[in-house]
Amino acid sequence: MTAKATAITGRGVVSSLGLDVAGFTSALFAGECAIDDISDLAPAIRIKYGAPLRNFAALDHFDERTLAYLDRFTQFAAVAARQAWRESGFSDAPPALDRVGVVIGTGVSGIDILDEGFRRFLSGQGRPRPLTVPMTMGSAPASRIAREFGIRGPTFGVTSACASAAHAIIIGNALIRSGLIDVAVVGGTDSCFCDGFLRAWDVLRVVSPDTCRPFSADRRGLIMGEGSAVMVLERAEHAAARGRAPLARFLGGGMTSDAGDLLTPDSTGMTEAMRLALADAGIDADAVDYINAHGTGTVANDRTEAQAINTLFGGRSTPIPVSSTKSMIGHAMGASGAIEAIATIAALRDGLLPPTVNFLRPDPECAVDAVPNVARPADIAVALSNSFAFGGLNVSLAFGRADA
Amino acid sequence: MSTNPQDQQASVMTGIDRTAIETQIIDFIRAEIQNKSAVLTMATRRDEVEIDSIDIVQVIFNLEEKYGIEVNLSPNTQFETVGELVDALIAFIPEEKLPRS
Repeated sequence: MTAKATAITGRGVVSSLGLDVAGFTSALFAGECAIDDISDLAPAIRIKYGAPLRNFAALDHFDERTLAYLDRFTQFAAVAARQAWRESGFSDAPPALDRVGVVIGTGVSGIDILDEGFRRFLSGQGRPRPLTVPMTMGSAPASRIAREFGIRGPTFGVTSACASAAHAIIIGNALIRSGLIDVAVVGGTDSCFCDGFLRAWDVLRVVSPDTCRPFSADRRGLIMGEGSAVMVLERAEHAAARGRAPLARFLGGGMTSDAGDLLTPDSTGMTEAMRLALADAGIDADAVDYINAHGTGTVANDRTEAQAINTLFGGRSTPIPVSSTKSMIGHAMGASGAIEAIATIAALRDGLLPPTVNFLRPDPECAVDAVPNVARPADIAVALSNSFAFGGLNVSLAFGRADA
Repeated sequence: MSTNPQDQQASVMTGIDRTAIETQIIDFIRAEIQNKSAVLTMATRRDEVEIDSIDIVQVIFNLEEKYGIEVNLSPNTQFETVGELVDALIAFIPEEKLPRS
């Protein structure tokens, strides 16, 4: 597996469980749940609970002039990227910046500024803000990150709804493998709690009226979240040449499209994405020790994902552990694949499986070991992280421990 | 003062307070640029104070709000001095809305 493995040398996260990797990781393993009452954000709709970043203070990170052209999803990504860049050591000793790229996923783009602008206009209060267009564009986070560090290589956003960050990680890695760049700053970001967007989700009838209970009996839907995570991927030889030990390794990924129903998941496409991830990583299914599931908490996703997992990993004497970070932070949309990658890497590094919280009792239709409610010590070397999006777009990522 | 002698001549003839409007627009520009301590005059060169496209969009927006006008100027407009930008912006303000001396 090491022949194609890419070093992960930096991580950053801005999440409802914590505004940096240390805070996120400790809350993750403690099984804390960031889901709370949000009825103040969009009154008189069915959605009452969510996991917004209430304690993210933009002015702690940017001056007012800069904030005039950064929407909230870009703010999240820039802060996460600063953490990752610092951890990689590039803040002190930058690499050749024309050999660095930035690929950041977003499912939603700058909805906050657009929502506010439409609201002002339609209520007769004036025009959208002057920099609405550059603020709302889906490539704004990638562009901002490039500007923060002077990165001059290929820089763009990718979008695939809830799989956006996972696609971004694979594409950034592909740029490294192709020889085009040595370093890729990859991840995802989304901000989801403006009134208009909440109302749009409300009509889909997939949001839980209480909390998020992935793979559990009596689960009632997903819970909306938000945030960002960013990683520095680095060609293994490049990291070694500067004496940087990887934090973990990205082994490979698989991507498929169902070409079918827009909103109903399909286990065939999910299974194939995981199978392709294993093939890309050059490993057998037996080598996988843990799966960080897409695990939204909807009846349909969890049943279908469990079926896909059992197609590939069923029949073991001890079932493969499968947990969902969304039980704690909700569904961070286009950021979820990156935040959950950070959770997966934490599991590999710390030898602890993050739990699925809010778990009541097993659902016979979701026959997986969901690591219910309490983190579990486990010496793991290889893990998958799944992201399956509306539109039938499936991604699975394979990560390995630094020494694996 | 305007960098264009004809403008100065015209201002005198119509009683428009050219200096007042120039000062006002320079204040709009100062409010947007990063370097708040920069000395901004009509003769200041653009590269001395780093006026970027975002600053220009904001200045145009604020000018439009203040005067209730449309300033159809590109954020990529070419200019070398603050005076050239100020002149270009003033050209969009109808004479009856300009301050008089």
